[in-house]
Amino acid sequence: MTEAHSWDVPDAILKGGQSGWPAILSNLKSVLETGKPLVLAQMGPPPGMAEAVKQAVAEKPWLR
Amino acid sequence: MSKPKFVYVTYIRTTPEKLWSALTDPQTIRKYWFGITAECDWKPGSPWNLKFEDGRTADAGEILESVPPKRLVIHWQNQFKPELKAAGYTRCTMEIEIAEYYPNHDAKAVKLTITHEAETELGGPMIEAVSGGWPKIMSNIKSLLETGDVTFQK
Repeated sequence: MTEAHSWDVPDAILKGGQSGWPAILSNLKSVLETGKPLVLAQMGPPPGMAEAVKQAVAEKPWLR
Repeated sequence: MSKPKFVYVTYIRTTPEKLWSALTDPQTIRKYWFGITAECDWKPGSPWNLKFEDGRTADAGEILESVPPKRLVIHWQNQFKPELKAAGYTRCTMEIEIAEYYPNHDAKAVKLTITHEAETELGGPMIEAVSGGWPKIMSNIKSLLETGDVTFQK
């Protein structure tokens, strides 16, 4: 599975995807192949991501 | 121009010791690496070779760092494709960690990070080549450790 973005995403926001997607896709593969997810606690967004999202939405109304 | 780099992260339901064994045991490597295996004693400074089933050398280099069951760094050059050999040496770092979000260390899964980077700006073709291979190899390792079987045979 490959995913991509159509706009120039700031690093602070990309870090969310970079830490989140590997865990989610690893979990998906485990569920499909073994029927059981990995035992993962909730992962929060990385530092600075929430602020970067707010700023991006303020600067680019089409992201709403 | 920056040096080309490939990073892959996966989480596997296993232990650091079992994952280290899967990354370094020749018989296990052959199962998930499409018949290729490694010849190495996994000590710092030792030669490292990837071999095809027919005995030809696929890739060669040496072990730069080896800290079982946590960290392995390989100095790595392709040997069988002239255009990839010309891309020069790369450095592959394999890091094994307890998944960070465990509230205690009673872990049932580990995080494996593969960072494969060129040593010069000419390394692009080699990093592009390994970028196609690592996801299949990592998928196979995860399947092998979690189910006992691999996803891709070849």
